[in-house]
Amino acid sequence: MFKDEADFEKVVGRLNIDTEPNPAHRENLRRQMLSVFNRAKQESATRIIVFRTLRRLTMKSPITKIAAAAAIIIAVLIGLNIVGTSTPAFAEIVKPFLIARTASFKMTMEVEGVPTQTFDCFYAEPMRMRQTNHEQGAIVISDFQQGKIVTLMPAQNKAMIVEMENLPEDQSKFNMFREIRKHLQEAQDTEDESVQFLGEKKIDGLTVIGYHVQKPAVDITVWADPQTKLPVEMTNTSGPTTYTMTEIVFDVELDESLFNLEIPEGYTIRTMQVDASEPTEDDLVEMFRIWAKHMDGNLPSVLDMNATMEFVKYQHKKLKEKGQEPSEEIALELQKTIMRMGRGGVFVQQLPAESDWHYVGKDVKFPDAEKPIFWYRPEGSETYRVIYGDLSIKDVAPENLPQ
Amino acid sequence: MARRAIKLTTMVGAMAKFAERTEDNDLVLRAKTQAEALGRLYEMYYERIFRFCVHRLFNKEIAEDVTSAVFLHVARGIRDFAGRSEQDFRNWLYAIAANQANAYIRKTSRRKKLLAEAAGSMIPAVAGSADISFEPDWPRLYAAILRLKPKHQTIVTLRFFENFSYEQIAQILDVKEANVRVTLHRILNKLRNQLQTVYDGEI
Repeated sequence: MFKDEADFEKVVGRLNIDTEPNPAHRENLRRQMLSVFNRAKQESATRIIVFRTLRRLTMKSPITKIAAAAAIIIAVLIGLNIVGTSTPAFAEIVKPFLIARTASFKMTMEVEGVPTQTFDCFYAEPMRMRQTNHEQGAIVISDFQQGKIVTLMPAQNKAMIVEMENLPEDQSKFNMFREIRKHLQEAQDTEDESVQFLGEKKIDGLTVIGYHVQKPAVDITVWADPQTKLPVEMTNTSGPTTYTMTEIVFDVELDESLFNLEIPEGYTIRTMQVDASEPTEDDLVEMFRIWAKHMDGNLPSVLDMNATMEFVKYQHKKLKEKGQEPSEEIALELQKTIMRMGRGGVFVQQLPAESDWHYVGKDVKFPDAEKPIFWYRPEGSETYRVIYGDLSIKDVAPENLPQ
Repeated sequence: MARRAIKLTTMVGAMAKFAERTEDNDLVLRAKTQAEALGRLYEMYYERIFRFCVHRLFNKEIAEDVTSAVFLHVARGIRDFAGRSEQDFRNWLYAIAANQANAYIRKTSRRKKLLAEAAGSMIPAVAGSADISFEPDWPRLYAAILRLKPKHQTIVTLRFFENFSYEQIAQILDVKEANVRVTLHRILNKLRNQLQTVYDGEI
């Protein structure tokens, strides 16, 4: 036991503590700090200009003197603060998202009934992402200009290359960062009731302000530091999946090697081609067909991310019943099948709320021609498209829809 | 002759130090409006603040986050900073760092992680070393430090890890020097008692 201060100093002296700083952090923080400093400077300058202008106006003419005084009173009455210390507007908060060339952030993906997945993410223009999954140790690098997604599994020395064919012009939906950016840009441009101010809350002791963007197929919440106007947390809900981004830093220096699509030496490589064109109704029908084939005539219980889990569990159970081990070949085939079906899922996910889509195929067996399983109204159509258990399709008037 | 030379050298040294201090003070005043000056202050203090955070939190990643919070706070607040000298700036900076680190530790869930990290920070004692009779188990000691009041934890870090004088600690915490001495004495007693209880309990 230590006796006195000198003894205690010796204890501390024995510790082997690495205090060597990381040069990249040092440099990034320097840039970030000076950027915050310069922004604060501009706001301060704006305040001075407003005051000087008002003072000049009030000095020059009695009419403008009254007008200026009235402007201040009105501003106070309606809760505006013309000297620039008001709650930052939505546009200010989302601006870094819209203009950033690069970003780094942590992301969690939560789906009901599925273990939460966490990722370290890096985004770089144009359309590149690197995501490292903590739970599975997989690294996914995507480059949509090259139409390629590379998945590396360093623990197993394995790699999977997905080559995307027929990529549409607007590829933003493939890249989460770009998709969020697109929705935020639209919300900012329209400035309608889809954007709601949420007030204040605390995140890790920091007071933040929030905005919620809600539109058909868009549900985004941004919490930002009112002082720096930089986003602190962003949540994007898409169907049953919620993505939460934290520790967001914009315009960080990212090494090009992070987005290198070359496979390290010694890895076993699998390659897969995927049709990335816009999914259609045919893809949905194809999804039902494949599902029924692999699921003994059953159809999905739901049409969301949980369906994938249902499919995988069932296949696993079938293999077990046959006394088979899920070999690599089987896993790869399964992955291909799921990706093929995924196009049908994306078609449903992209349907707007106005399409009034319904899925009721849970207890229907293929090929039951009597029972409807899915219906929706295509944009601009008076009638609904109804898909039946035998996967036939009919155009049905709204009054004749299944109850 | 030699004496005169020594005297002259001492005078030159003192003048150089005075000039340096004046320049640093000037830097603080300029940093309120000029990014270049703030950048220089940052270069002067980044490592010191980072090291303080590592010593307070025993995790480099967390220390980076807290260091970031400290300097971003500085960037936002330096215009309204009332201090004029480099010493004022240093005291202000460490006070911010202490507050930010305390805010981090305040969450109980985070302490477990910090304790685990701290356990890996100790070089195993050399067998047969004559000097280890007083040696408490470091993770236990750190656990005991974490049980202290946040302000007391800061005093321990500043005194034993950063080797600050009582006077400097008093300035950073804005208390009297005598107060720091008395408090530190009590802190050590408390730590000793806590560790003793742990060991006795085991026996």
